[in-house]
Amino acid sequence: MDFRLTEEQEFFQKVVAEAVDRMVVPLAQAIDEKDEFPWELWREFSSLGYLGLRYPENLGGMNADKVTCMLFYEEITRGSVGFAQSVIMNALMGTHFLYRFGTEEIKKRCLLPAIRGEKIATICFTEDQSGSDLAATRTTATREGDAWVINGTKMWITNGPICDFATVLATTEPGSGFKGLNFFLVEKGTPGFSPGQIIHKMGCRGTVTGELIFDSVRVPQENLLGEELGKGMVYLGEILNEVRAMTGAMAIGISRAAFEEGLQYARKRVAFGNPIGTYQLIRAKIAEMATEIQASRLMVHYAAWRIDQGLDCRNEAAMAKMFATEVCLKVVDEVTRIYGANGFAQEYAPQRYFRDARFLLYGGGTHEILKDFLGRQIVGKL
Amino acid sequence: MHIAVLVKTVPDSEARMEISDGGRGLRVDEKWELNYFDAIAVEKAVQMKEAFPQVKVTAIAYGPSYVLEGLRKAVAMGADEAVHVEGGESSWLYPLRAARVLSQALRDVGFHLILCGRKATDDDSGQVGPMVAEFLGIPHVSWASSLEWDGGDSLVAVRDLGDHKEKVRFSLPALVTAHKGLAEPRVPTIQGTMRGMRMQARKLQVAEEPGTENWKLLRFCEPRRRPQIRLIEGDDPGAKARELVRILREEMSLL
Amino acid sequence: MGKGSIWVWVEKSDGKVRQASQEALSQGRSLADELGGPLVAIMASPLSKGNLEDLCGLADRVIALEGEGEAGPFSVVETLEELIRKDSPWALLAPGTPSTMDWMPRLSVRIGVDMVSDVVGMELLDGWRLTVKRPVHGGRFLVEMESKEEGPRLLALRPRAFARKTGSRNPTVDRFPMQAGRPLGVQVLERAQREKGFVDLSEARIVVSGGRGMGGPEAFSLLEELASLLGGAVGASRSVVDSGWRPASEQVGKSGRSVSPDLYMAFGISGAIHHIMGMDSSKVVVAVNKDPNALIFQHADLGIVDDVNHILPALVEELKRRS
Repeated sequence: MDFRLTEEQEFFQKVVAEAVDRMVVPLAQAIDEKDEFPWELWREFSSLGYLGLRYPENLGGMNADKVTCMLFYEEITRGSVGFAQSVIMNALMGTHFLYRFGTEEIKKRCLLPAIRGEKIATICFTEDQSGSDLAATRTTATREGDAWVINGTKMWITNGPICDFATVLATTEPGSGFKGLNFFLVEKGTPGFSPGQIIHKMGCRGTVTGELIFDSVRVPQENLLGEELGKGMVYLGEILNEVRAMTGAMAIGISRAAFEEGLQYARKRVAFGNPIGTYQLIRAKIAEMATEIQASRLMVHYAAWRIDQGLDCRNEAAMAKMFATEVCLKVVDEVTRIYGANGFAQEYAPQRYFRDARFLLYGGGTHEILKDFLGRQIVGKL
Repeated sequence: MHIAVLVKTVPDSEARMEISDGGRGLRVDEKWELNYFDAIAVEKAVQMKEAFPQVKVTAIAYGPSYVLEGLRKAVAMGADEAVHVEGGESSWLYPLRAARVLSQALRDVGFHLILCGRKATDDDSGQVGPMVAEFLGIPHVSWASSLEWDGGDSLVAVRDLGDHKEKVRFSLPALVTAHKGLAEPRVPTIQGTMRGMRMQARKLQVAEEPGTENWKLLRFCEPRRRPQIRLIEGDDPGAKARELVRILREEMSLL
Repeated sequence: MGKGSIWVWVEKSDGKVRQASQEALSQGRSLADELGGPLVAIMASPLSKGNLEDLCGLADRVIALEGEGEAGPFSVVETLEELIRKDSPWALLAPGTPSTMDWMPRLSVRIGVDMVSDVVGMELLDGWRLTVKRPVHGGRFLVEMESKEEGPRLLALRPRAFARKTGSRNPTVDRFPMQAGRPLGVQVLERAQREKGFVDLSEARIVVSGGRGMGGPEAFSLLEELASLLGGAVGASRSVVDSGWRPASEQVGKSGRSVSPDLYMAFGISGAIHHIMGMDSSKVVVAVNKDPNALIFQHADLGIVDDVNHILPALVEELKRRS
């Protein structure tokens, strides 16, 4: 078994890491403090073209394999979690269904600009009454002639209030659970489509998250993103593993950023006459964190590798997301402990990672849902 | 117009290094990057290509396989081609040998203008550029912090040398060594990165002659460590400042 | 003359002998004394009385190179090559300035002999084996090398790494024609010397440097005042140069200049490794930073944990009071 990244993948990671170090890292603290979308950074970074990485070259992408994608998600998140959420939304979920099912017109109008960062994309699942329970989706899409009329309110939408277009999960058959679920494209400017309340978050600040309101929003037939009606969950299933692995990669990014801080601090902070990195308890923390981050990385890359090989990996992806997230939560906690009182101060980074990491608990699936899923998979039908 | 850029791959700033082999060697983490000043040279060459599309940029590196890293970066930034002159581990420390080998490679590859960094951050010697120019019998302009070319036969460079600044005009063929300010190395775009990933460097063999140098490596050692710092306390900034001046003047006779 | 003779290239700037050349002469004198051969100073004409005095009585002989205009690197290479082929010296020392680094590497190729640059230490063993030390990896390590039998030993010495001495010799002065350089083709269009009183970073005895902790470009005017009071040079950290607060020529560090002053004062500089690499060879380092965990304190002899904007004015005031 060759566990190594290829020379090409290593080079890719290096280039992205350097871009992040130069462009994103110096602004990360300010982004968190101001909690404003960093438009200039967005333009600068997206102009490099990496947002299109999983799409083909003729769309401006590089047809990157999933392992390479994970490297990208890890590095951008290491730089700034808030900014990464917006970037990854444009790179993956906010654009995928347009790529997969959009007409040439839709691709030209929305997908290509989103890859270039000229338009901001998003995807809408969550509602007031449904997060994990997608079958309970209340946003409806009703046929009227050759158009669809969408009604409902979506919550917790990353990029929502600033998006140029959204992929919306709506039911065409209210009450029929999964069978009625479909994805629709709604563009800014369509009457009835408006941003609602912005959510002020504890972490992942800098990305704008909020409500999207659909009040009799009328969209043409081609805005139904899918070949058949009622296949929304099937289509989601095509990328669910990737989304879970991606969340795991984001967790690794946060873990690494926090770990690096903790390591540097242990090397230079002096207490009782010595750098604290000389004390066994601190070394133990460092050792444990390094071990678990290593394990996370292997799990996430393995799940991604399986996707590339066309192998089923529903279990592996769920496991990777869960494990990497739990490790991340531990790492950000330990690093604030290594920092002592300074871990509580806003001028140091650990508190930011501590706050940012919490989103991992619900992004990509809550752990309660994932454990239930895995448990059922493994135990089997009884 | 063919611009050849000499690129050296050096340990990156995170790479850990320690003296090994009883002092005869330096063990370095396998973490490499393109030498900072060479990255500036690559950027300048690519900018010249973007201004005048008939320009072709070739990046050349000499050393073991790890030098491919620097070549990949050069290609990702926009170099058209990469040439790898295979060489030994010790090449990083012997400028005259490196210059001799690189000059031969340059004769093979061809050039109108050669760009390189004014020094490499591993050996810090700054000799290879002028040496290559001498081997090839061409003029060189070092410490260039600006370079203008109108597409013709001559160029104008500005050199900021600390105690004086000068502006020079010179004709091709020539070699220019890059100083900070000549260009700001770009972050590669996704297309550039892809090109870097797919790079197939052309291999060149040039006879080296290790062991013929006039200087023998004795050992590596560490510079003297400073003693524990002495912190100056005081009731207010004024008191601390006065104490500092007192120490510098009366104890250390520095002022 | 010939075997056993030590030659030193004496560089002039704006007609005056550079301090770094005097350091090279001093080191050359030590070598010459140990070897028992003469010390020959080589420099471009015209020779002013001041120039000869500035040789500090160290040289036994002076070769004045006669020619028109300023000694460009290509003419120096040509001329030295001829001189060396005539009377091969045991060693040729020169100050490690950018000007020397324009001709010495080319000369090295001409005569087929490796040179060593940025030399910070030198020792003659057994009366004839020359070993030199130079920094690598930004000064993190020193490499020691020994010269093999065949000379001449070409050495560019780091400014301020060697002490200046004086002697009482009265040198004979010979003239030699400066050869025209080949290849020609580099024409100096403009040349701007820095103002009188400007102290070059690599030759300054005292360097006072500012980093991000200074807060902004305006704060540097106080640093300039301090430098002026101390007769020193102003340096800057990379982030300050990148932010446009100070010019690139002031940058100290891995991608800037390396300095070895007697006193280096770092104000509001965090002490990232690439900066340390540029100043760690300073004799005494003073660090002022309000962050007690700043890495710079691990590379300093004296430190003050306080806001630079409180300390700097107090320092300037105290120095004015004492003078």
